[in-house]
Amino acid sequence: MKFHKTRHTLAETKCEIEMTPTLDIIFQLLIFFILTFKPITDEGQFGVNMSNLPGGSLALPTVVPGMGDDTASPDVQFIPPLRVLLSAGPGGHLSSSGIAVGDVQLQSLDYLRFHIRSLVRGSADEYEVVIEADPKLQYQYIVQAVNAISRAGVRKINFGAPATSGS
Amino acid sequence: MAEEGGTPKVDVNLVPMIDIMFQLIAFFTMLINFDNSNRDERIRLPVADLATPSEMAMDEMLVLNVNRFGQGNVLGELIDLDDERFRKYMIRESQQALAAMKRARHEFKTIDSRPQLWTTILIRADRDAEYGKIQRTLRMCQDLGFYKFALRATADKVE
Repeated sequence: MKFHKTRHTLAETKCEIEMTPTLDIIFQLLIFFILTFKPITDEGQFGVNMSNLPGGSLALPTVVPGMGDDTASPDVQFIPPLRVLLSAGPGGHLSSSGIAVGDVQLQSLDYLRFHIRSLVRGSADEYEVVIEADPKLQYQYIVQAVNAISRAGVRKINFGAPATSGS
Repeated sequence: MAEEGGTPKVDVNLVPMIDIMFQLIAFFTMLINFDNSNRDERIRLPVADLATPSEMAMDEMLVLNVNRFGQGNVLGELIDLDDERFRKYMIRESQQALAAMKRARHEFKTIDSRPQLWTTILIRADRDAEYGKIQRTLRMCQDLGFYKFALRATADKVE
């Protein structure tokens, strides 16, 4: 039996990869990712120590458990907490002069920050601030108040009994 | 280029195009977020520049998504925070937390016969929600033994 090598078999076989299905898949993946893509907004949080005394009672000493640290021994505080009153205006917005620390009325949350900072000067860790806000107040003002108090250096923040409108 | 006696043949170079495609896919794949289970994107968080990202493990957290009407998202269902069903849900959560602490032989303090639970209640409330409802929820949680709370906020001034 004779085998003849033809010119055809001797020639180099050309292997072509079919690109169309690959591109199809790639385009589909791309469209999927573009449609499901949502930019992630940066979220942060404030740790809040909730005193076990109801309403942030003035009874002392106030035991404030450490946030996220069960092993830490609770520290005992002998300084009365600073009470921040927030009152609501129409639509649940913070009313003008709606911030008070004791008898001092404050115009804005920036003033609150400066005032708290001046009160706790040098020993912010020893102080606790209790926020007593109008129940009708929008939540954003509470967080902004927490932000302002944190900026003043105070880390122990509590929420007291809600203040009624106009108080 | 025209071939001899035939129709002109144009070769499209696909390599750079595929390169770009793969780079785009890699980009989107890296940005995809699989940890969205506790996020409700309809909630517009309050803005606070000092809020710091969480470093706590998620298994110690209970996330409460609260919309602008004061309704909490409980297992996909919207329930008013003042509703009895929400209270029952929180009681169940506190019992589960206590059982988990006992299983883990975790030492815990008891104040007024209430065991202090290790779970952090993470509140993701809408900026327009009424504070009164959130305050009542905090108080209820406190009564159940939760004492660690975190208030979620965003640093982005959007919308």
